[in-house]
Amino acid sequence: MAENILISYQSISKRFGGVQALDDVSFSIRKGEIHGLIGENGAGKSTLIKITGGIYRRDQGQILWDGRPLEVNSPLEAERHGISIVHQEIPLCGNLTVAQNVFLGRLITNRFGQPKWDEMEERTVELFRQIGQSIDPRARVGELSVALKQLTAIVQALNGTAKFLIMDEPTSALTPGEVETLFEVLRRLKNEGTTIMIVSHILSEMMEITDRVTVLRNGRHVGTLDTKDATIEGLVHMMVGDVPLPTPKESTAVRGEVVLKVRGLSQNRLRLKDINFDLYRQEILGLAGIQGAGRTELATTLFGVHQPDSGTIELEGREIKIKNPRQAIEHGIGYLTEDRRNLGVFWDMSVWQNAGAAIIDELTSYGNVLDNKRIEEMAAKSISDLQIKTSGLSQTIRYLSGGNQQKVLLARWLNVKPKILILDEPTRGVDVGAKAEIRKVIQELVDQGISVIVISSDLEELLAMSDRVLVMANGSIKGEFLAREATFDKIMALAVQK
Amino acid sequence: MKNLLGALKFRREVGVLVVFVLLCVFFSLVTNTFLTVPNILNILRQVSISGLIVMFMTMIIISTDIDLSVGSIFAAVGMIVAILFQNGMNIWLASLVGLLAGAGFGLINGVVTVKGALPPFIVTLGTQMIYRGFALVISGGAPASVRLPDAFYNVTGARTFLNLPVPALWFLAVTFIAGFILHKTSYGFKVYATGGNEEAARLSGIHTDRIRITNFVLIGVASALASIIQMAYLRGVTPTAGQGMELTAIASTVIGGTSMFGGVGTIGGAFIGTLFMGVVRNGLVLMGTSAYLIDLIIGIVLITAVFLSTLSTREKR
Repeated sequence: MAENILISYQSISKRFGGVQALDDVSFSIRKGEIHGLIGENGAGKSTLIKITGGIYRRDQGQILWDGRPLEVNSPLEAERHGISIVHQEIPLCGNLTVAQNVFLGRLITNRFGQPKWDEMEERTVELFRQIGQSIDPRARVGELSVALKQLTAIVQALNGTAKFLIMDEPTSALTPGEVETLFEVLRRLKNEGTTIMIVSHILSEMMEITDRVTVLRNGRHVGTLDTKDATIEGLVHMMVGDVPLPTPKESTAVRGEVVLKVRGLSQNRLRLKDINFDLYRQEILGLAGIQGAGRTELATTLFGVHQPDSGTIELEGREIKIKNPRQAIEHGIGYLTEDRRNLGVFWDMSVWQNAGAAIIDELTSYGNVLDNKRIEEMAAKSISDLQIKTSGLSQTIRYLSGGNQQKVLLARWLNVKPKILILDEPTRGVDVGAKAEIRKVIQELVDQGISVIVISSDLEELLAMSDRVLVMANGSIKGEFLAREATFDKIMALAVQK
Repeated sequence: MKNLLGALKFRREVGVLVVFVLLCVFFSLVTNTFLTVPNILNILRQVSISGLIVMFMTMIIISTDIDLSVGSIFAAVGMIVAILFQNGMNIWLASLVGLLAGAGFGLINGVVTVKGALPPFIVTLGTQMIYRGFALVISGGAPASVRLPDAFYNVTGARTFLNLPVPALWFLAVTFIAGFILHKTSYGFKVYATGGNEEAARLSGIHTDRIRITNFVLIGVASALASIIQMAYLRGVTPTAGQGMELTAIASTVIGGTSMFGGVGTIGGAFIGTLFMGVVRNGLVLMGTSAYLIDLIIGIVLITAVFLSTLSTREKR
């Protein structure tokens, strides 16, 4: 039996700051199988992949590779062992041809160091033929479809003679026909002896392609089972667990009063299709869904970052058009980004500058001369309302903890005195204490009369906070639950639809 | 050595200031002409023309843009004002037209860059040639000399009480105004926000496009003002004036601690950077350095100064 095992994870643990990403995970992958790895967002799938590929280092445990301990400290070393990862965002050079990409880093040259393109192009065609595909080796990769780019990445990995191919969400951007082609390629590779691990959210596809499935939940190994013994319902239950449902809070929503009414909203480029929903006054409306379901896209469209192609948005009974974030703010809509690092924080600026960024024109007197008194009042209020731990209002935000940075950004949106606040992953990457505080602040806001749309990948939190939950998948709303009637299983069953 | 570097771990400008003071001490010791009132006034006057532009180059670089066309705007505006004046227009009115033309040139830079979503480096490289060509065409390639009325000369090119050069006073005044705009107004705030994180700024409701275009207009006006003052001082203009001016301005800006990645920089730093460039050149001349060597040395000083000023930020990574 043991010689059947290609890679064996033994008690792998990994911690990022306050978050235990992987906790004592042990399972094995057999030679020549297609192994599925599933779990909710944050279950630890990517961390496990990155440890395997030498991008992260594990804190504890060991990996046995073909029976021997494996130590990889870089993707290059992993590749030398025969471990290749095809990432969701495929890192190919779009300006180079297929053959050039396939042979990137291992050019075939003559004795004068000149690349022998003809030979490499022939070898590329041959490699593609081995997986049953034809290709123009001189095509520019940037002009290929996502599916062909993916195949190019697979061929690139095979050219490095990969024994173990890891595919991260390979089907999320493919059409059904392309998925079939990919699966044919994977089956062919399997028959030739390559071992494959697939990470995916789409359980129906996992049922179709994998031999065995491993489920992770909150960084722990829940189980590994033969796919033929599994059911989608069973897997969903393993993913979300037997958690006691959070006691739903007393609903504060004022049912009769619709604050925001969205009808038939579509945005083709963002793949939003026919979105309809109402938001009531003093309601917390949760948006559930897996990554790529379109929740952030919906939020940013409501905030005027993108223009809808069709549909209407009504605010307090009046139809409005929102052309840019400034107009959204003027209508009383705020949006806390999910990507604090890139889209939220001004790293070189101070606490007050970050907190006041959306109302800077109101912090002035005599035209637009900054008024220190107003600034100090605003900053003092923000710092005390949200209990921001900082050495002062002029402290550079860079030096605050993640939770306090998030509170500063939340303060930015409270300062605009919004009617509607859209919070995109408001507690992502903050520690437990700050999480609770942020949730408390949100509830207080609602008690004061504003309405909140909250996006969170933490279902437990979403159910605990929300009055009502909409489930999104693939750019549209698939269902709606009152929080007290919802269960993890019901929500996930809708969320994993294609 | 470690301690010496540690001592420089202040804000970027402070590092430059230390180097600047050391340089001044050095020149004071090796020459007996450097530390004299006439020479210091002379340095102030020499740097004042490009200094007017440095202030707004700093602002534009903080918002992650750049303007390579300032020297050509300088020449084109000079020619416009001189030709209008030679053809009988009142010099005050001609100057106003010149300032508006500078704003217009800047507006073109800004709109093409921002609305066309093009790299400012390329756009202003193009307009550098276009505006220069414009100056050459309208002048026929010939310099123009002007005999300005005293009332105008006295407030632009002359020396005034205590023998102070008026251009230097303009420089000081504009430095003050630019410092006020950048550090004391919501506009300045938005410049930092745009340069610090343009997407975050947009999501905070800041019209980053308008901020960037306005910055281009401001530097256009500053270049025009510099041109008019220079014209008054020299009593004439040439269509080839201001060549390489953009490089001097950018060098002064980065020596002053402004980051080419945007979001970081101050007018105080820009002021020190401007004086720094002037002092190095002046000091080297007073030492009798060969004219052929001066640029070479300034290049080395530029890189060294920027290296020293980034030491503090470097160690944080």
